[in-house]
Amino acid sequence: MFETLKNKLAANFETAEAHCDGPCGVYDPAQSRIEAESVLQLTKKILDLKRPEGDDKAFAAYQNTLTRYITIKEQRAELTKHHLLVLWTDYFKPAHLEKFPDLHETFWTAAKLCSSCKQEVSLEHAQELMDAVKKVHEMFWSSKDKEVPWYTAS
Amino acid sequence: MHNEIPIAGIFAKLRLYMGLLQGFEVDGDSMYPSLKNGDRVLIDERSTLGVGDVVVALHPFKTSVKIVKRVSSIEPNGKISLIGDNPLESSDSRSFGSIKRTEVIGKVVFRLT
Repeated sequence: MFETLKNKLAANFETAEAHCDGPCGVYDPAQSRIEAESVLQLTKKILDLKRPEGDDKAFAAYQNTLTRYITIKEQRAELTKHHLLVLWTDYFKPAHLEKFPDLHETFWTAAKLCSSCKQEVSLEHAQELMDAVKKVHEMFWSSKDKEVPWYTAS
Repeated sequence: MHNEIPIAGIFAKLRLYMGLLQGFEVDGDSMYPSLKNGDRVLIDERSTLGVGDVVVALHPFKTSVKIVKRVSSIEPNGKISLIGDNPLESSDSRSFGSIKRTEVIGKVVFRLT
């Protein structure tokens, strides 16, 4: 009788919404991963770039390439921060803190690393940013009880 | 004012089984910490309402949506204002205004967890 009652009870629950009218409710840390990966790759490219000797034309081309690398690194680091902040402030909720007590520290560190990657040409900080984004990836999918393996495009 | 929601005993579950109470599952965190995402609650359509009660109501302009919020005030004309216990994560009467008494389905009288 109790099993029947339990099954009957389980089937009878409608949904009562308790959230804000968010725009779409679609979140994925892959957005921040792609941008952080670009920051890492651009940091490598900047460090690998060799200054040409002599020829003015070659020097102009070098400056153009270097400027583009720096500009794109700046933009991608800002986009990484943007996507991380959306997850932090819109997706994650107070209830998640119970499961992830270091949630705020993780996002705060990741956001700070985005700034470091803009200010510096640091392979170490670019890799630390990727590591922080990987941790966000793990927390995010764990919060949804889904197993989504971490991967990178490069 | 926050009126506490007692945990359902066997008699409350029997009332649900008999159709005297309705069951709802909470989706979202606008009632955190009183109710968490995934909590199950039982409502009574016949209970009288007061300020501080948690209710399940029809969304005033999303016809297929039912919401769970707390009664923050009842106006002399009978219209009811609702607010989430976690206002930063809640859309409620602050945005959609007060609702009619007939839009309230019932008062949350028990929780299952």
